[in-house]
Amino acid sequence: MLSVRRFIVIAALAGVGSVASAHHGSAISYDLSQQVTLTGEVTEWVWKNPHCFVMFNVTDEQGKVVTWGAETHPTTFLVRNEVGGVAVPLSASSIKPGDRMTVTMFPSRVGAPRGLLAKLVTADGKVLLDDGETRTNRRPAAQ
Amino acid sequence: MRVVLSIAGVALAAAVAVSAQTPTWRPGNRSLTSAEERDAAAKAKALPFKPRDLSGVWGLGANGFNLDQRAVPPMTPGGKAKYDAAKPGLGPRGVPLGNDPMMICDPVGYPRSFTYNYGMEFIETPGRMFQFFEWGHTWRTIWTDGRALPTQVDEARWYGYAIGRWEGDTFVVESRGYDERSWLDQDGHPHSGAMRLVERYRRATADTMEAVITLTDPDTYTQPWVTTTTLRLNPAAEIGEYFCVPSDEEIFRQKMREPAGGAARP
Repeated sequence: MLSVRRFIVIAALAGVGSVASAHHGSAISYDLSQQVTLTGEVTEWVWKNPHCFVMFNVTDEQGKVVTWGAETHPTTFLVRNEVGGVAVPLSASSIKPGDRMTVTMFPSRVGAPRGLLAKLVTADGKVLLDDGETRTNRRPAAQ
Repeated sequence: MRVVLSIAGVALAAAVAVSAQTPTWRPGNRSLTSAEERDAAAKAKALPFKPRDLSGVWGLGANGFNLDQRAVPPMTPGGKAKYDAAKPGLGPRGVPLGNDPMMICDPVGYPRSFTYNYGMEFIETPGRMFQFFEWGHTWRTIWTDGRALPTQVDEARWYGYAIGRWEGDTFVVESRGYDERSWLDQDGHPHSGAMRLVERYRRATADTMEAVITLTDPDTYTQPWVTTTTLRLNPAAEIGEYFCVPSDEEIFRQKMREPAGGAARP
C-alpha cells in the first residue's frame, strides 16, 4: 500500500499561452492553473495515439484506492522526448505495470481522477518526462 | 496559501502542501525536435541551396502553422451557421467533448494538414510534387506535368485536386474540389466544396521557405483569406507514422477524454 503525497501548486498561469499538445478534444478539460502530484502504482501505460497515457492506482490514508489517469503527448513526440535538454526517448516499454511513479499533472476541471501530465518520476528518482514549464505553445505562431 | 480542491472525492486537508514556487511557463517545442535535429538545422543555414529545391521536411520546432486568425474574412450566413455548429476542443471557443472531426479519425484534409501536422515534407518527382504529412501518415499530390486545373472536380477530395508550376523561383499551386466536411483549423472554421486555394512557396534562404496561402470560398467567406508565413527547414527530421487509429481513439475516448471532460465517471 502506498501512501499519498499531494502537492497542489497554485500559480497564476491563466491566460499564458495555450496548451496545443492535448488538442485532441481534451485540453479544455484540464485546469492549467493548478498542478497535483500523486504517487502510485502503474496499472497501465498506453502507448497509443492520439495521446499516450498512464493509469495508476493511488491509495489514500484511509486505504481507499483510486485509479488515476494522466495523458501526455503522442508517440511521435515522446520518441523525441527530452528532460532538461537531454534526450530521454520514451517507448512502449519505458513504463510497466507495477512501477511506482510520482506523477504531477494539471487536474481535470470536473474533479475526475484524470490529468494532463506535467512530470513523471520513477521510484529511484529518474525523471522520465518534464513538461512543467513547457507544456504550452507547441505551435508558437499558431492555434 | 491553502486551497481546497475536490479530487476524486478525496478531501484534501492537512495533507495538502502548497508549493511556494510558481512554475514559470514559457513557449516550448522541445518534444518536436531532438538535439540532433536542432544541430542539423543550425548548420543548414550556411549550406548552399537551389532556390527551386523545396525538398525536405519543413516546420522545425513548430507543429504546423495556422491560417492567419487575425485575417479571417467576414462569413456568409451559411458559413457562420457552420462555424457556430463547430465545437472545438481548444482555443477561445473550446468546450469539453466537442465535435472536432479529427476525434473520430476523419481525415484532417487540406489545408488543415498544413496548419496541423508534425512536419510537412516536399518530395519532387517528374510530373508531380508530393506533400507528405505525419498526421494520418498521408500525402497530397500536386500535378506538375502541365495539365490544367479542371474547371470542375466531380468527386470531392479531402486533399483537393492540385496542380503546380514554377513562376520564377516561386512554386505556385492551385487547387479545388475539396470535401467540405473538413475543418480549416482547430477553431472550427468551415469551408464549402467551392473552396479554391492558391499557394505560393519560395525558398528564401537555405533554411527558410516563405508560404502564402490565399483561400477563396464565396459560399463561406465574403472575401479571400490570405495567410503568409515562413517555415524552417528541419534537415535531420524523419516524418513519423502517426495514424489516427479508430480503435485506439476509442480507448482514449473511454479512458481519458470523456472522464476528464465530465461525460462519465470511471
